[in-house]
Amino acid sequence: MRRPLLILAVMLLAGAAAFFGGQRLVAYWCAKHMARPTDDLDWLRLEFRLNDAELARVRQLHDGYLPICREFCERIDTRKRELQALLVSPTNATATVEQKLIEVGTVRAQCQATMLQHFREVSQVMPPEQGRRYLAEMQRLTLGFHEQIERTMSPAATDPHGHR
Amino acid sequence: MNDDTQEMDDERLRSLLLEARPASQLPPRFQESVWRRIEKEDAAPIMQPAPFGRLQRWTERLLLPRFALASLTLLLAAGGLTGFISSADMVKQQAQERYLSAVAPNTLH
Repeated sequence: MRRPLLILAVMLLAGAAAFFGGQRLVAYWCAKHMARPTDDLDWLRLEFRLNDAELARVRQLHDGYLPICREFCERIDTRKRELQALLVSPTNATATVEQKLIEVGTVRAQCQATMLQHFREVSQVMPPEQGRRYLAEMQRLTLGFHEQIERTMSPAATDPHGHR
Repeated sequence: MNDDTQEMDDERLRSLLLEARPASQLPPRFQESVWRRIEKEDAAPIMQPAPFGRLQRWTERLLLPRFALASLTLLLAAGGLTGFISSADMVKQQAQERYLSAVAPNTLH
């Protein structure tokens, strides 16, 4: 009476081992052969199926954009540090803090405008359909975060955190 | 005519068989009792297989080499497919994070 149950258990174990073994094996192979972990543009190659020539054009734009991006990051960081110093200072005047907040916001806006311009340029060297998809995705990813926060705080939001 | 010929042949065959291997005497009313047993077997209700009997037959079928091999191959392929899908998504996700941190680091914080 126990023998069929034992056989069934062994068969189930063998089946599970085959399933999960196959899964792990393929996952390992994919991680090793599909990804190029040192390349920043690997996502564009994988997601938008760019060929070598298209990827080379994107890389040229990317390499040109990186120093500008770095410069904006440094400027934003500097303004943020200044704002932080003002906030902890015992003599922080509201007007000065407000001025610093405007400065941070202005540099951030300039950074975003430059970023969007870069995304547009990149989208133009891609095949049209992929370019449109890339631009929409980048706008969603880079501008969508703030929209989400603002939406939850708007009067229309049903969330109790909203200003009702 | 055919029946006559067949009966003659049967007679000849029977006598030949008796000559080749003399049989011991059959018990009285042997033929009748054989028929009675056959009728009894036919009239007996068909037994429903017990659950464990059914399980045993099923596991025995599973153990047939071609069935076992086909099942394992199917599971291996299914595992490989799910592994490929989940891994491809993960690889893309990591690559996307790398790209975003390169071109839009401020949007991540």
